[in-house]
Amino acid sequence: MNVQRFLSSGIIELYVAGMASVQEAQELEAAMAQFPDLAREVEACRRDMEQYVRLQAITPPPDIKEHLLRMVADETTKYTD
Amino acid sequence: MPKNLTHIFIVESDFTYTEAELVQGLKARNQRVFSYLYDHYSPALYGVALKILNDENAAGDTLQEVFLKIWRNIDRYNEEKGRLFTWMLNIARNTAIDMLRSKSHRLEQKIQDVGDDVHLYTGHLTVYQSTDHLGLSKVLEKLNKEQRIIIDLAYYKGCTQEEIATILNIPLGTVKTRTRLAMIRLRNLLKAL
Repeated sequence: MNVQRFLSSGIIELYVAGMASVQEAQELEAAMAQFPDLAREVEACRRDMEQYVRLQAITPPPDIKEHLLRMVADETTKYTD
Repeated sequence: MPKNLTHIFIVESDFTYTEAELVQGLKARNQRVFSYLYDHYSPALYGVALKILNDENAAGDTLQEVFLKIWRNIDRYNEEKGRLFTWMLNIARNTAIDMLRSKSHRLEQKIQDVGDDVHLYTGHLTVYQSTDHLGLSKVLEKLNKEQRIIIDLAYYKGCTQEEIATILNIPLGTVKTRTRLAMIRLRNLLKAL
């Protein structure tokens, strides 16, 4: 499959939406490694999806960070001991 | 809607790291970098978890697990394969979807959840202190309900084409076409923001 066929097939959108089959994803990823233009198109679509995700950002409850930092500090102490 | 709600998320310091510096700092087990990472990315990742799980407690647990995975597995991150945010987002989606499945949510539950999501976009939104819901409502206003649901089922709920066909009661062959159209519409709306 050439680059143009990938671009017009709609597979990029399905892939980024997480709806490509395993086989379709493998084919696209193989082609992306070969064709930088195709890889750029996928990345542009992914960035847009990520912007949609960022629009839906919600500040988490404040206690989560405190708890996490404590766990991380404990783990780090164990590793270095 | 008060304007200041869009600026509720306040960053602790003005200092900024590039993505490469963040990765380097995390690999060096720098806890200050981890703290910075959390401040900058937790709202996006919590938003993802909340959208997938539709439950604040489960989303909080997931967020914690996600950041521990980031901390513990940063050596597995390969910048040649994609940006840090993409990697973290995939961890968040996978962790939350696993959590959703472990709670043995049935297909009907997924439909229910998507329906319930509506309250996130309307009056109750302020409760969650969304960091940018003015932009979001502009996008959602123009995306029709089916397009929004298709994108959410695919991207957030991890539904297959078959599941989406069943949920929306449309032929399997139509799912691909509609998903693509929904994605193209979404991208155009985002560009217009």
